[in-house]
Amino acid sequence: MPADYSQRRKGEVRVMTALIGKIDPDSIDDAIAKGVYDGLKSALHKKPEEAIAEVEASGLQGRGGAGFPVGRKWKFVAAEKRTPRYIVCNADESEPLIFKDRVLIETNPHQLLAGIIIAGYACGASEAWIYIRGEYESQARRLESAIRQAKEKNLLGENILGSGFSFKTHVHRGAGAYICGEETALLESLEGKRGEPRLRPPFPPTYGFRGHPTAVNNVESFCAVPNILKNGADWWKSLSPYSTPGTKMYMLLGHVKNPSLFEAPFGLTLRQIIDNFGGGMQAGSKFKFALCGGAAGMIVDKSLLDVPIDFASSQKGISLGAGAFLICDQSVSPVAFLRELLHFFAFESCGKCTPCRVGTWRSLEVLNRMAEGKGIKGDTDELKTLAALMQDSSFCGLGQSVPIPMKSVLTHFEAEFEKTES
Amino acid sequence: MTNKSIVYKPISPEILEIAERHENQSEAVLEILKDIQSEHGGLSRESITDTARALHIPAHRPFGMATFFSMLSLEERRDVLRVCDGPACWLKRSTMDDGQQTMEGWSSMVCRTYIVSRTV
Repeated sequence: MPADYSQRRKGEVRVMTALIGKIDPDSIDDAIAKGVYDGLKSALHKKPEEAIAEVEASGLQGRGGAGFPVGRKWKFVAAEKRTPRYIVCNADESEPLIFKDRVLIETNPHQLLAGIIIAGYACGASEAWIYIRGEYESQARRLESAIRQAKEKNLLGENILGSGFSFKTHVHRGAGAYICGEETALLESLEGKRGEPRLRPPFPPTYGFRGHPTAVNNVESFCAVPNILKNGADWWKSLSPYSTPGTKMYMLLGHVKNPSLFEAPFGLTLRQIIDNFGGGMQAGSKFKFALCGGAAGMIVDKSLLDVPIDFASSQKGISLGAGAFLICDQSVSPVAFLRELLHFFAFESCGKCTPCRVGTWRSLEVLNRMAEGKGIKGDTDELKTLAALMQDSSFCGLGQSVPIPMKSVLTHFEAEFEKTES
Repeated sequence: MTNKSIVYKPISPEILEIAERHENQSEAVLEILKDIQSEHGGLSRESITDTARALHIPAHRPFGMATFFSMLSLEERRDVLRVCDGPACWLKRSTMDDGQQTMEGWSSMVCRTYIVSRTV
């Protein structure tokens, strides 16, 4: 049974999720009637540069976790002379804890399509690929049906709505690899190769799919775009009282009363997220620590409950990442928790570079014995050394971000790790 | 010295047909392997080399894919049982500390892995 996200929670600002439960996701007529494609129509009335300028003025930052400005990325692609240019939508969503893209595709696939077509128009691209996680079979089918319907309405295909702009969209299913969420690994996989990352730079806007300029963006970024084009950059900025404009999808999980998905402006504190949106901690639970962002996010203790969270707050020790917050109570041991994370990373390391391939397994070995209470003297230091090594010398974002939870949990809970050493 | 030419077995017509369906594009090697797997529950050695021959690519390409992606399997299997042990499901004890799996955590709301996926 899929969860029902149609109920608006107190304090929510719904933009991308506004039509959940009010729209039939399988009907393009309903989508057109509810104005999902209005943003595309107003974009087609503008020049491509004007559409990019509008997105850039809105200050929309990429929602995959890194927060790179979407408008600037599109500008890079549009500035490349070589054609064809491509748009790639990253719907791989392989990060544990994250399920926002699934909900966005499931409830309103036309919003995503509209965003992708706008991106194609703005960047002067001719084709787009939606790289969707292999497990999301029903969502992939829904997208394919949406693409078919859009073609019938001339929202895709040749000479879209008489604008002279032609565009094709395909759905590509992944096959279960965490690394394929990394943009260059995703492109490799899309080209029919093993999903191993490429050296960056050159970045995908210069050298992307098939070696051509490619804009790779997250599902949530694309979903925000039609809303911005429809209502204007100023409206998007006005949604948030905080310095980072717009809204963000948050996922709240773990030992809270109402784990859920919600949309709200930036700058929330962890306390607000737990109390206002999650209904507080479960009965008998006391907040001990939280994993913020995604699996490769920061682990924070109660000292950071009141820090406003945005893409820049990782400098203060709390990351936003892709927007997941896993709340753990006193019953969870940080040592065992980190072991579970490393277990995941060790299995998902693609094996291309040695620091990540070996470092994750070595850390897992150390954590296995620590979690059993059989740690050896010096194990905590060993973990710190491995973390520093992986961060400094790994090839791609996977290996470089495994140390983030390791280091942050060690700053807050070093004593618990040292207790397991004998 | 004898000069015997090597005679290869013909490519299985089934794989030729699947490759044809994907326009013999080497970019579609993942889809082709998935289609073969959905017919047989897994990828045999022959089906991998046949895929390579049908697409005129080296065999390491499809073999590399088959061993890289966790949804592809070199063993032919019928029913696949997957248990999500991601952090959120782990909190709900989808995996017990002694390594025994329980039913309890399987209904965790975020679990995105198919619990049981039939491959045949």
